[in-house]
Amino acid sequence: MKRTRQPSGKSNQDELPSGSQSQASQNPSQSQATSLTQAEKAAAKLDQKELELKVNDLVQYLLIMDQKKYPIKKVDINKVVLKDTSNKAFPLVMKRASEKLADIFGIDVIELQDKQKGSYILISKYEIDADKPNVVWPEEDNTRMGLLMIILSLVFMNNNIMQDSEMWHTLKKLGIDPEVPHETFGDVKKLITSEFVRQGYLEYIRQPQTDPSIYDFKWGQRAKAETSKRNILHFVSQMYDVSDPQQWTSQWQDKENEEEMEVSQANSN
Amino acid sequence: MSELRDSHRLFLQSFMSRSVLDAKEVKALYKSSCEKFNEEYITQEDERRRQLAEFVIVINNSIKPFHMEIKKGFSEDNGTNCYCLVSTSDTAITKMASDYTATELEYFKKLIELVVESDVGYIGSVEALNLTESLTNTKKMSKTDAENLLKRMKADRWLILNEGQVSLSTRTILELDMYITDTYPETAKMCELCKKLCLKGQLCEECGVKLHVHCASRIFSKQNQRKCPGQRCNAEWVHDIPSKDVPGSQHVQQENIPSHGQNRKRKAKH
Ligand SMILES: [Zn+2]
Ligand SMILES: [Zn+2]
Repeated sequence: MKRTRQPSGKSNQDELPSGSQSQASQNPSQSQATSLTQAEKAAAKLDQKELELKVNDLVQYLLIMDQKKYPIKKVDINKVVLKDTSNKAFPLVMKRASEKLADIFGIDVIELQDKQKGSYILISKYEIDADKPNVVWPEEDNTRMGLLMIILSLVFMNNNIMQDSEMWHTLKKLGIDPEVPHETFGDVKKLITSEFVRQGYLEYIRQPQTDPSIYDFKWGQRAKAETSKRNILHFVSQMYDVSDPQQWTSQWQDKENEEEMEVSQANSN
Repeated sequence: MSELRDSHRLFLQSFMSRSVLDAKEVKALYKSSCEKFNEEYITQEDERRRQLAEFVIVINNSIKPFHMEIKKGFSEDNGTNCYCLVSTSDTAITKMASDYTATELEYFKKLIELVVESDVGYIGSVEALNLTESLTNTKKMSKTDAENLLKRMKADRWLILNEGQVSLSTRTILELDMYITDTYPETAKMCELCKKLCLKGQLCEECGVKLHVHCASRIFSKQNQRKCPGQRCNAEWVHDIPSKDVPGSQHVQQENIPSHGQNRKRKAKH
């Protein structure tokens, strides 16, 4: 999942991308920009300097907007960054900004799928070591991430789907009462069903024809991109103080499948 | 110049997620970034310091096109060092626009103005809350709103709230020093020793020269006759000088981290 891609070097960093078909991005969600030639024509109307400025603006904009971890919408990028420039320049400017984010910041730009197409999230290429996260991330984030990891683990251990009532019940057993304002998290229920959902870590889906409504928790697209199941399994085994993750046979199988898929995906690229 | 490696990128990412790191945290982060990618981490102090400085320069060169820079600053309260990833563009304050509303930013700018105009570098919290009355933005702000905003800006490390005093954090000073000196060229004072913006500090009543407390202690700690360093002033320096072993003394030895301010290019004003 976290490919440690070597930076592609400085080779085409400063050349005008028009003319020779620039190599397709390694990110599958971007390589489908088939209208690139058309986009390149549009972008060619920008002179090279202008293009470079737009790309740098977009990099800055993505980094700032990512601070809240909300997906960033293409419409907003067009409105705020590209402005009067033809919107057809979007694929090219986005592609070049993604390359810079990868080469300089170690960050992948990923387009969300399905209903959220046209929205982008930024994902670090680096997996954070679960045993020393405190050096790297602010303490408050650590606590929130801790809660999130617990929730993702619970969903994962429950065959990737968990009903809301069961989630609240289990969290309560772990000492987090969703009904009581928490000193760090504030409104726990709101954090989980609204903030984590908006950030793309969780999906919170109403079961059809239920009254009163019953909701299911699933992993969101950001969780899938950011957190490998291996990491979660490691986290769970630490949580329960179990040395051998293979004790959870079905989850182990799930992880193996995921890793096989990654290998085959990597080969097909 | 050496090339950007994964260790640089991980280091940079940590800076992006934390607003400010102190010297100890930077060292720990550098160590873990090196170790994560099996790069040599030098234990010998001087050599490591030299390497870390170069490490930061490599990063700063790469992020310059995006108007970003890892800057070194110090606390005006005690002189301890910290490091901060700042936005160097003119519009640094707009970076905060994703976190704060237009009204809140107007409030913050007014607060900065009051702090800069005060000789002491801080204002009282009552004064800060009364600022809500001078806002021109159509969306009004109540005193309770302002109180909550102050707390939020403290949590985000923009402000220091201490014993009824409101002052600007090191982060704010690093990030907005250009905004402050450009907007208030008459009132914003530079420290006579380090030549950086000085809000909290010691002021010469005669000539208006100002010194950071830890800068004053560097000048005066070995002198019995304390005279104002201002040109042709020579007035007596009447302020108390803290003893030399305050935490700030360590920062004398860390000069080789690219420090902020000195070779900064000032943009011409229009
Ligand atoms: Zn000074
Ligand atoms: Zn004087």
